[in-house]
Amino acid sequence: MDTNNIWERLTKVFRETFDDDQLIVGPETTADDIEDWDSLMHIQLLVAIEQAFGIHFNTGEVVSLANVGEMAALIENKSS
Amino acid sequence: MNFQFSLLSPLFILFAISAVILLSILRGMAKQGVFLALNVLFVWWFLQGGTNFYSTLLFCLFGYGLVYSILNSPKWSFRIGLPAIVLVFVYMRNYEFLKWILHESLQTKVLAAAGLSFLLFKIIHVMIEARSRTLGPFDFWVFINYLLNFTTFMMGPIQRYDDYREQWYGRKAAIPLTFEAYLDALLRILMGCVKAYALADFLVPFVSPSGVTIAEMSSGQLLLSIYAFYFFLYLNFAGYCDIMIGVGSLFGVRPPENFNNPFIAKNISDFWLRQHISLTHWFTDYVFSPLYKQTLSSGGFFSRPLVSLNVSLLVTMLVSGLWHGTTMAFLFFGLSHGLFLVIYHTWNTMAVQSFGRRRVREWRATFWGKGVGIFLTFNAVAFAFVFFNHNLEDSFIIFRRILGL
Repeated sequence: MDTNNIWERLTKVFRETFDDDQLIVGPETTADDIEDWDSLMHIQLLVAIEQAFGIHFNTGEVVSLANVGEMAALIENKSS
Repeated sequence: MNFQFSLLSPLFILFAISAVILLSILRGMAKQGVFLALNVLFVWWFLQGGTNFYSTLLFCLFGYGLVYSILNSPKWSFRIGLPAIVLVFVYMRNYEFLKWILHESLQTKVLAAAGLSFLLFKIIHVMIEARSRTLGPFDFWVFINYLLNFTTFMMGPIQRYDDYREQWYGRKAAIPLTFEAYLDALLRILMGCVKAYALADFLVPFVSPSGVTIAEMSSGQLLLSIYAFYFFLYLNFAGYCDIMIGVGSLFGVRPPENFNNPFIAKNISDFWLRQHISLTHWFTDYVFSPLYKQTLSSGGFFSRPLVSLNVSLLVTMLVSGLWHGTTMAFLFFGLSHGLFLVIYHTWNTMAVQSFGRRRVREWRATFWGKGVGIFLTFNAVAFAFVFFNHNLEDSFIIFRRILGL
């Protein structure tokens, strides 16, 4: 899966999870940039990503993800 | 000289000053060795030597062995290691429920060392990160000093291993190298002493008036005692954290923040983000999130968002209750907070579904929205702390008396 494709699908998952069609995410986006992104939404988001990409995040990865860029890199790594 | 342990004793002040000076001037293995000697001395002094001191050291070595084997074979070492260390912990702490499954002659009363709960959570955190391959470099001496670090040994804060390691090696600054930052750290230690010793001590007569039993106290006195205990607990614990964060900042490894005005929490979730913060983060990362993630993706009944959330919250708080203490009263403490969270999140979900997220947020921001939230949270928390200060029987007597039943 190429990087553009990942970002396209990732944006779609973000928009569905946060119920916001205008939402734009980039590599530097963090939980502080999206008002509803708390620890509960974080888990809902990761489950939605797991289902959309057919991958699995382990506990350490869930804890260590700092921004959307790291998330995209991990997805690329896992789905390659 | 008096060897009785106290953070206010001249001996601790001398100890802390020596630690700050030695750790600031030494480098490399000498620094590591001196820190280990200081930590072992502190733990020996705090536990007053004896069996629980040696069992604490063995517990740390056991933790090291488990992390080491997980790094070499993650899957099976973790599956066997996690239940093993929890069982050893439950046995050493001599949990109340053990009397129902173990003969009295098999129970221990000499290994229940203070500080063990914090050691357990540090070890489990490193074990999970090791299994997930997110741990980073792992070293025996760094790990042992991380566990025994005298600024986090007694009552936390629960520092993360990578945060400790990065500060220890100077890759991350504990505080800026300015006169003001050092002065702030010193003032913080002083503030901590005032909170933990002067202010908390002042509240003791209100928490438990001398010569009066619970049965003899009026409902007004009981209510006052409940509120006083909430403030006492905060002052005692937050004061201790101020002292330790201040001392750690001065020698270059600053423990994480643990409190942020819990009394003004607007709801019960907000409370746990302000009270014992390092513990909340631990539970969020290692109990709640994995459980919530697991139930959400399980399919079936438990994967419904609200069911999944409430089950995960309840289980997390029950485990938290048992972590806080070994008796049944602590299980009820956890259960109370679990129910508070379930009620809050259910109400919140229903309100958002009915009125929309934006409108609920606007209501919450009003004077009355905030006021009602703070009042309810403050009282719910204060009443749940009754289980902290009393056994189960006395707790229910207190509730009945106050409610006039």
